[in-house]
Amino acid sequence: MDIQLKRGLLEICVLKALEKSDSYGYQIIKDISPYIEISESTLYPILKRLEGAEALSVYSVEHNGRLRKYYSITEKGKKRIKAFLAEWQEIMNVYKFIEGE
Amino acid sequence: MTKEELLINLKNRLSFLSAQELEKAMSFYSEAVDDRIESGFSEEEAVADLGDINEIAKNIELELPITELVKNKVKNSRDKSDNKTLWIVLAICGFPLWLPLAIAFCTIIFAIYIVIWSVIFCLYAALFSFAVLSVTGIVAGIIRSFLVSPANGLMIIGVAISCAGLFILLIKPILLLTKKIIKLTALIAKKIKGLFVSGKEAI
Repeated sequence: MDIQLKRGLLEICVLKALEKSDSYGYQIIKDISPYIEISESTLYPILKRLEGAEALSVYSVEHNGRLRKYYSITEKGKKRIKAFLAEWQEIMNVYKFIEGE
Repeated sequence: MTKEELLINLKNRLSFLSAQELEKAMSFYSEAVDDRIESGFSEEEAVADLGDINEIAKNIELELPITELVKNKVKNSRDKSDNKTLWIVLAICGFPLWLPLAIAFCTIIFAIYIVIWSVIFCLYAALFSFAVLSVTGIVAGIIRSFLVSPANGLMIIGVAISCAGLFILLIKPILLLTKKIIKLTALIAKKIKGLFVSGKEAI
């Protein structure tokens, strides 16, 4: 898949994984892996970028004697998901056309 | 690799990061290992599951803004005394200075090419007019030989035929000249690119 395209998709996937509930790194990877290939090395920059874009926020929770970072989706993040769905509705129409009857 | 080894490895590769950024990266990956261990992985398996450490370091590097990367290159170059990277830093700093000069330079080159191609265009125009002349000349000549006199008509036909001759003679040289100029243009463009690319390629 085109790298830029994949990046964009991964960002939305991460946001979606956070939509239902706040989550942490490894859990996000487990949630997304069935749908698209992702590893920590790709996830880390994505989380940074989303945080910079204020699409998610970060906080720490103590867990088994260590600190675990939790990510939480923001309103901006939710809007991004909606925008993605709207944009891709159009793409799916084109796909159906190309696929034929 | 153990978790300790992974973290030390990362720390070495990412030494150019600010203390804050480095700590963030280290705790992120430390957490990644810990979570996997909790899920049942052994420490070795957990570290291995994170993937190639080169990829990890590279992806972190790529996220940095160019200014950080340049600082890193400059820092590295001080150890290796590399002139190229110094030029990169100077190039970025001197941006407001050299940009107008570069624009002027490009404009001049562009103007020179417009001139050269105009000359070529004129040559082709001349070629074309020879062709037209010869055809119309022959026609006009025939008509004149009836309307005015054969001698008159013949003269014109003669001129027309010499035009045709010139046309045929000049086709090849002019085509050759055009090809050579195209090659020259490409060569000069490459050289100009070479001047700038060697400054950019490290980034």
